[in-house]
Amino acid sequence: MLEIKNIRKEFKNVVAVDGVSFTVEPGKIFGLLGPNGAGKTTTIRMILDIIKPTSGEILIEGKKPGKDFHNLTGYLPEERGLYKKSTVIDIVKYFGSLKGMSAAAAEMSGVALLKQLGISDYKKRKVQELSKGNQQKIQFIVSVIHDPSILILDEPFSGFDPINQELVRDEILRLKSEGKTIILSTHQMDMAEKMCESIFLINKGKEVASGALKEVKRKFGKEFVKIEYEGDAEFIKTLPGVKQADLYGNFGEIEVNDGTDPHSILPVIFEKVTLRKFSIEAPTLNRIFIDTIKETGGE
Amino acid sequence: MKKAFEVAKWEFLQKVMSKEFIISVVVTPVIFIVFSILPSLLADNDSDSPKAITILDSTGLYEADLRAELEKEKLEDGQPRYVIPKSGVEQKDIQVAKKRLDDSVFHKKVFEGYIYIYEQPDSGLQLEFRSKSMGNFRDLRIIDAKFNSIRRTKMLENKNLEQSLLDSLTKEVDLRSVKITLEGEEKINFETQFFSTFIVIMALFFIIMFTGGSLVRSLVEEKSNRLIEIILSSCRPDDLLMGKVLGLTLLVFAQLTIWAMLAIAFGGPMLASASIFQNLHLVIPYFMLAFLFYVSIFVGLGSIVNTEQEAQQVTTYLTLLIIFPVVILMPIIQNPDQEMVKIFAYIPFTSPLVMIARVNVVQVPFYEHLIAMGILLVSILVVIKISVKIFRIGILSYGKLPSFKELMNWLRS
Repeated sequence: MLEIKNIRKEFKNVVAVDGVSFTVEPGKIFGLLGPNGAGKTTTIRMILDIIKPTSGEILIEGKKPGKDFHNLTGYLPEERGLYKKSTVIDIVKYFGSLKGMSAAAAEMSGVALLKQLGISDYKKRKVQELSKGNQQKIQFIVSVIHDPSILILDEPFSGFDPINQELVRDEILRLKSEGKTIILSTHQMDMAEKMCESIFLINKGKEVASGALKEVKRKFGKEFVKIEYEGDAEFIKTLPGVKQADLYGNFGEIEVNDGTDPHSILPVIFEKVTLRKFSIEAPTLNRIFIDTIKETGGE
Repeated sequence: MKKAFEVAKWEFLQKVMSKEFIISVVVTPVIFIVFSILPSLLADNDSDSPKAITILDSTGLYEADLRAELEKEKLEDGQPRYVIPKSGVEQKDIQVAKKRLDDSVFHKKVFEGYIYIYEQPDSGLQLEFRSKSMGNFRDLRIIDAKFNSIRRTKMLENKNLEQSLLDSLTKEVDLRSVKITLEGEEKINFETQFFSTFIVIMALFFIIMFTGGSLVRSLVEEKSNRLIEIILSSCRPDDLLMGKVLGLTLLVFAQLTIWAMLAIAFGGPMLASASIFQNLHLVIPYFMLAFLFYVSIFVGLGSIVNTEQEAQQVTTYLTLLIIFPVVILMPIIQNPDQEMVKIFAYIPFTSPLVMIARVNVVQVPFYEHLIAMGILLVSILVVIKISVKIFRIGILSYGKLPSFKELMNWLRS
């Protein structure tokens, strides 16, 4: 379990993180979401004890950072890179040993993970001889080699082809089922929506939205009407009861005013364009992200 | 501490097996051998076979004696140094013979050169060694000494002096340079001193440059691919810094050990006489202190740079600082106790290399070592403290190089 209590980080003239609190339960995936420069990386660095918060505290399993604290956490940074001229197994063992493992234990765990990700053959190869996707897998292995109880993954899917994305996803779900506490930081809202139980949306160092995914959706998201059509649908923007409409030519998302029944606009639209599909949709995390960030003056 | 050790192990093993290391271990000595032996080979062009020369004596007084004396000179292998046939030239034919000999020497027909003795109306007796080139340094010295000794003997012979007095008057006294040390005295040879000191100091300079440069490059690599974040989520920056310094120190020990073994294998007894090897008990501590001092600076400055270019910039400035003692090596060896030299011996940037140079030529008082090493140790501690502070922040900051003002802020935080 990871508890973040009212942390704040000031750099010389900037408050990077301001009063952030959240709790991540073991066996859950927690989404740390926000635009670039929102304070995600600073928050992650504080959790990893790379930098100290100016105030507030971080507890892992109820304990403050101290000796061997580093051995509890695993981290996959967004930007990837490895020692190009070293062999795969050397690197895996080195990072294992930096996390307090013995050489033998690190080798065993490394070999097992290489097998799970289907790259056992590359054990003795130099990193520079590997494809980009395989290098990313090594990086993933490095972050979980020591079986950390807290795992922080920053854009874990970037750089993988769809097949390897599935492989990594399964690996993350396996760790989740083993009761690891997992923080997923990403811009891929559909991924976050599919994988996270709870989220924390941060902008300009402050909380914008947080809680269980369902709760956040209920609280911040509004239902909207999705249509697929043929013809000129510009008139929809000026219909009474319509708050705003995003039209893409043969696809549109329409938001209605509070108190307006979405069904009430169907007949009008039906009359003027050829309608192939009409549905009332639950809000997507993507929509919530864009709307709330715009409201709080983000990018 | 255990993690610092893991970092050290990694740095050492990865580097010791790298191509760069193997090249530096092998190529550097080759360069040094070429640079140090070649000039002396060229300068001391002492032929290993006898030289054919002759004597053209227009006074007719010296030829026989001089030939007899010169024929006593032997080469190292016991052969005579010179082969001197009688010239057999009549007094009246001197000028013709000179012309003919000049021509012969110029075209290297028979003689490599000839000694020409003649009387000049206003300036008296003249001695020339005429050859195609300027003449070998050693030949000139021998001929000069022999001739003057003969001339003196001849002049005194006519004065009816006692034989013993004559002997002592004509005896040549050589000037020898003797270095006085606590243990007694030892003869020194300036060239050996200079070259052995120069080679050792250049070698140390290269080691520091090589390891310092590779340290900065590895930091730039780790920063640019963000490995540094994974490392710092595994160990404290102080452990990382210490591990890197320790790993590099081990690497340098490995390098020195290999060189020492090569040196003993190829030139053991010859090297043992050079005083730099007799002073190893001082050279090694000074070198290790210098190494720690510079590596601590490199690691601090290395943490702020982000690109190879910036790394190049930073290391260039440091190189200038390190190479300074090499530039002033000659005056140090000539005047090891000059006030200015003593001052450099206390400034941490120059002190180790200046001290290494000095201990080879003079007996440096114990208290001076104490002061110099004390200053170095304190400076190392200060530099490490500063470097750690810069490192902790620098290693996580990207973008443009911090200004001096920003660095100062980091130090205060």
